Amino acid sequence: MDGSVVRHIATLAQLSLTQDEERELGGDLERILAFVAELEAVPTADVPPMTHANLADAAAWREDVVTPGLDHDEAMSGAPRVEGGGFAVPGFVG
Amino acid sequence: MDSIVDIAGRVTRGEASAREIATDAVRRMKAGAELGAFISVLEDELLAEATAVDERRARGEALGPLAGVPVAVKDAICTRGVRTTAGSRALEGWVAPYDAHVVSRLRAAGAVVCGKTNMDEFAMGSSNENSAFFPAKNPHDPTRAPGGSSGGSAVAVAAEMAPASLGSDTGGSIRQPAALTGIVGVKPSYGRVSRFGLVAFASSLDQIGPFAGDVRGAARVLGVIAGHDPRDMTCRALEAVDFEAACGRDVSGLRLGVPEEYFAEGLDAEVETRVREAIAALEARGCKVAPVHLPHTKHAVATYYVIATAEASSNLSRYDGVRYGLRVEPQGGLAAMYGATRDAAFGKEVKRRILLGTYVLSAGHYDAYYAKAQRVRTLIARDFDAAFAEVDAIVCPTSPTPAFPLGERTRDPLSMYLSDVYTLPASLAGVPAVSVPCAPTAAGLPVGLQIVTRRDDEATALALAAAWEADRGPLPRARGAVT
Repeated sequence: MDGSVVRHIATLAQLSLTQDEERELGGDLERILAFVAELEAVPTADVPPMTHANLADAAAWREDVVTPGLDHDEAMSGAPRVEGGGFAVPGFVG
Repeated sequence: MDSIVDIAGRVTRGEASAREIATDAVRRMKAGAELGAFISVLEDELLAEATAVDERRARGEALGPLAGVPVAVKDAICTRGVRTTAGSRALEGWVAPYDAHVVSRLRAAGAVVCGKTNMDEFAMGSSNENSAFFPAKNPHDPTRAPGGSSGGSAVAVAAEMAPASLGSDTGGSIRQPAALTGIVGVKPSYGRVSRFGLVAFASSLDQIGPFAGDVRGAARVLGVIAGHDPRDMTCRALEAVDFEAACGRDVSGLRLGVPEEYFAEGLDAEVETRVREAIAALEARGCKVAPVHLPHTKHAVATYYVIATAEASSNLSRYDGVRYGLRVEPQGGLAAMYGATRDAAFGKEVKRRILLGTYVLSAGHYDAYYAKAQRVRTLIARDFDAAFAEVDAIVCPTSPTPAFPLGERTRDPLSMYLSDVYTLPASLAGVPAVSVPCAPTAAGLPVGLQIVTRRDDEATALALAAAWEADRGPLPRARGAVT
């Protein structure tokens, strides 16, 4: 697989790969994609996609009521950096 | 060690205190430490919880069906106040601020959480060798893998460090390690058990289920963790089933289908012999055995690795170093932080799957891979519908081979993926399946019989598993089991 394709996919996935990783994972990706290409030959013209095992009868609808959740401190308890009670990130607006 | 049912009975009757059971569990977990089953041994928490159970009993309160039973919990399942790593550097120091639904149910039933078990990173693997920390070892032969991804949960029970454990199964991650370590593992129907508090891998496939040394114990734990939870919109409001009572059901007259596609090239000859012995025993009990066809089985591995990686690439986008988990902050702003964080957080197999999933969802490839795989998934599910019009259960091997040596499949991701060839189809179809041990191989390695039933019919699978277990008799203890 072309290195530029691997880099494009890695960018979409927000992964920074080393050159060694790029080469190795690119090779793996190519072999796995060659393996899953067997699906192409399966006739599926009139077959609907199965997006989920049971969305149709799951409890997708419920009353819109407020239920107890995490309080603010609990919700922030795992954050690597908190400023002013919010999640802090490096600046991204110039 | 004593079974789940025995321990709960003794604690309920006051013949043993939860505290002494817990103290023994701590001793066992420490004695078996070299097997790598646990990422966290919760000694202090366990003893405190057990003491609380004893105090409830002293006050005359009802204790529940798992009174004083130590349960090991896969480290992908959140436990309030103690770390939950999912086997990843990404969550190495993360402490969940809440209990998963299943953990709340365990505690309400009187169980005590004894430790958090080792696993392949984010449940991606079939040998437990993808743990970011250390591999788990098979107690029947420590040079071999225990299976995965719930390897630590299987080892905890097989090596008699805990009477029960919870795992999660996306493509076989409960059943395959159960088979390879010689214990019972149950993957419930999709939607039977709430996923609230389970670190997500592939959400249309993930299910939590129990491991136990015997079928009745597994049935009891399943009964405790099953049930509707509005916090998981895919968890269904099904009628409660007495799974434990199902273990005593007469199985004569049940129709068993033997899928020819599962007894094909790649199946170890000794595994086939052991599995066919179990099927013959069920036939001798009056089950009617007939061949069935699941013609799309051969496409299950490809279908699974497209769908599961696509879902994983989306689910794992949350590990960005902002809200929880590892953060690496180099110069270069937000995008550099995302990249550096995720590069440091994830191991090779996780990166491989994120890349594959991102690729199959990307513009120009979505229809050819992802949409196509979803259509083939429909065909695989229809195979089961057609088979279950003819038979009540499908019986087959859980894994094509017994436990394989550590390191044998780590260099070739496809050979590792093929370890799951017999467990993936039921996951894709959303139907329940139980793995119950057959007699071991001549070399003493465990073999699993997989029993797959109609959606929501775990009871029939458990009934058949219990019948075979009774005919089979006790198994030899694992050589590495703690005494």
